[in-house]
Amino acid sequence: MRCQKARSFLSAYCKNELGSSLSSAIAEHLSTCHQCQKEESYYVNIIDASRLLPELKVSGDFNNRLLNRIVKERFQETKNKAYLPKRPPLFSFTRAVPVMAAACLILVAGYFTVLDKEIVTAEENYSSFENSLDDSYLTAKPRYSRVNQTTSLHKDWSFDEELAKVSRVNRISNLLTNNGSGYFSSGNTHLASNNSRLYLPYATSYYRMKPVLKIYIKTEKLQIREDAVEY
Amino acid sequence: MAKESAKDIDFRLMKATQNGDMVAYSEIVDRYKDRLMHVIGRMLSSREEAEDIVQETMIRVYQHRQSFNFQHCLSTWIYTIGLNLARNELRKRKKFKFYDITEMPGNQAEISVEMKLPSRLPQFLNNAIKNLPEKYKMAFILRDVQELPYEEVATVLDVPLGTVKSRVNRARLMLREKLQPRLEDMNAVSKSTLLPVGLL
Repeated sequence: MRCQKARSFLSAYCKNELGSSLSSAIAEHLSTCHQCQKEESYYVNIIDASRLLPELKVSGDFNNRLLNRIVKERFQETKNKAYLPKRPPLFSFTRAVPVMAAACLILVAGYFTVLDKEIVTAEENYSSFENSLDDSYLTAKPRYSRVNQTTSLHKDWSFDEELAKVSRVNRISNLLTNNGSGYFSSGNTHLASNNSRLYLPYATSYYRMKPVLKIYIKTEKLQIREDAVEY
Repeated sequence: MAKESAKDIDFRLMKATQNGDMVAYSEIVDRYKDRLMHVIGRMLSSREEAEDIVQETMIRVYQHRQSFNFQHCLSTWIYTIGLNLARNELRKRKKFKFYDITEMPGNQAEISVEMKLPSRLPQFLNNAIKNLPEKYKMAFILRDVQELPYEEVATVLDVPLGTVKSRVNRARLMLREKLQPRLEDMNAVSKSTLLPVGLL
């Protein structure tokens, strides 16, 4: 065996880590080679010194500190697991999935709703544009009509007085409109409750309506006086 | 009756620990705390840090006692946990400064005992180990200082068996190169005083 090969195995040889055949071959080489013997002595010294390295030891109260810590951790573990209800995690995948699915559905539904509304709004805009050209103003009605208003009669109410009042109003109206086809035409007497017609903002020639006064008189049985309907 | 091997003792103690026997656990701690300190103390810069890591290792052993696989050695498991924790600590601090026993506070008594020994070679060797690259240092400490079998060192370091053998051999070669001048001086003194090198 050559020196180079023998030296590569020398450290293992000194630790008795080689097989018997290789070990005997190296021993044979060492018996004849002084340089390799010197090398071997170095390794032997190093191996002996490695066994004499100062041992590091833990401090004396190591066991006590360790057991105290274990006791503390076991107490915490018992406290957490046995006595207190386990807190559900803030975020869990199984809970997040239905929430996310619901959120997606809401988003999709909301999107289509907004889209429909936009289409409808566009149609409405177009129709309102068309409607803006109509002539509905020609048939406009008074905003505060008292035609169908029911008036409860107080106890001093007198039919004759009301009739006289209406006749007076009718006369004044005829004087103002100065024709016989006005609102309060003489041929067909209708009862109006007040004289607000004098201040109508509309021209009387455009105004066509037939006010009807229905008078209900409270008796033991609710009944309508047929003759009063005539007025 | 055949003598119970170290592995059998470990397994018996671990089974008892799994059944809640704290005395058995204390025995495991007593068996491994100093061995672990011997290895981790050479990786970290201070004694307190090394002791904290050893304590944390023992806590992990207790916490995960039920997950121990009886197909492996207990020593391998404990060394793996300890070395991983030590590596994490070093990575956290970005400080790969290895422990120097002469600078370690609170260890003066042991040093003084060591200094009373006739040879100064272990101290030189300790300094030389300190300057080794990490991977060679770990392989050398586990194999030659702790005297673990190669297979166990391979499992602890999580490298192939051949790699471990190569690293250990390389570490010995590097130490021999570093210590050669001192060893030659010692050999010369040994010849003149007729004292063996081990006593110089």
